[in-house]
Amino acid sequence: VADESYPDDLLYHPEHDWARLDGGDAVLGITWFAQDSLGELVHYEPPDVGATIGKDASYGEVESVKAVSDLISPLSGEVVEVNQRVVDAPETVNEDPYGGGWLIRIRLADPSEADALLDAAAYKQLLAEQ
Amino acid sequence: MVNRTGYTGEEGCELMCMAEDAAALWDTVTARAILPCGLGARDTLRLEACFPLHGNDITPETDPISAGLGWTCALQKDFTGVEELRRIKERGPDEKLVPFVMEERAVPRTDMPIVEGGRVTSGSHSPMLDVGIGMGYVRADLAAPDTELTIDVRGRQRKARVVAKPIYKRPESN
Repeated sequence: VADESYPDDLLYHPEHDWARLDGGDAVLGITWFAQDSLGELVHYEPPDVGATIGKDASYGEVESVKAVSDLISPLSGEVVEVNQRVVDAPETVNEDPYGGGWLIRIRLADPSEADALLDAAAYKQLLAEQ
Repeated sequence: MVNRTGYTGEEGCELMCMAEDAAALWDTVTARAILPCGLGARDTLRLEACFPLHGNDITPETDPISAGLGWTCALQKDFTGVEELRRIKERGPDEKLVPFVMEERAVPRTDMPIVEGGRVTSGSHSPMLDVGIGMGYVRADLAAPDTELTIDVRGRQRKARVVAKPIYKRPESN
């Protein structure tokens, strides 16, 4: 299991999801805090490639033995890739939430939406207040 | 008192002591590198062993014949409800509690509908088998092992298969 961290190169959503901007795309995942709260993941229910997902809306689910959690998208766009490694081995998210444990890649519908997301410092502040 | 009557689905024993001794006993046991576990872990054990849980798989609305617990009922004796139980035993239950294993990736949960009729009463992810497992009531004609079932997992239909009890049994160790 990974050590707690919140990389500076990511943007964060208050529902404990992260986005890594990559040109007109973004790669999405859940934060260390989210995977730690859920415990070892045993199931990842991804969206279909080609699906349209909306900012602040659920695009899939992750599930541990004890709980199921909606995945909230920080940004709007079209799903262009699903991380099959996490479908096959959901615990990858616990081991490497910001690397091998990424969940989907989307083509951004409106890159300016990223302006409303939190940077690492603001997200850590939000965690501290909880 | 040391009991071997536990209902956890795992080998071991239950220790009972006076309340004032409990903290010291706990500290003594856990000091021997024995790790505490929570109810989530215990629930996977009893479900792999197909032990029905009261409040989930057996309730005031269910009966022991349908739940596969007829072996606990001395139907030749008289007790409250024995006539109804004899009737159910005689004609066969309409529904039976069956264990099942997911054929597709999904974790069944309590109260999910079984599309062919019935509902899930317990569900989890089996750490030993690394698949979703559960128990639920189905029509008696769907209760035989190998029968295909469909679980409605929050609107998604996922295949499951009825299995024989227990869902998982650890190979014998001597």
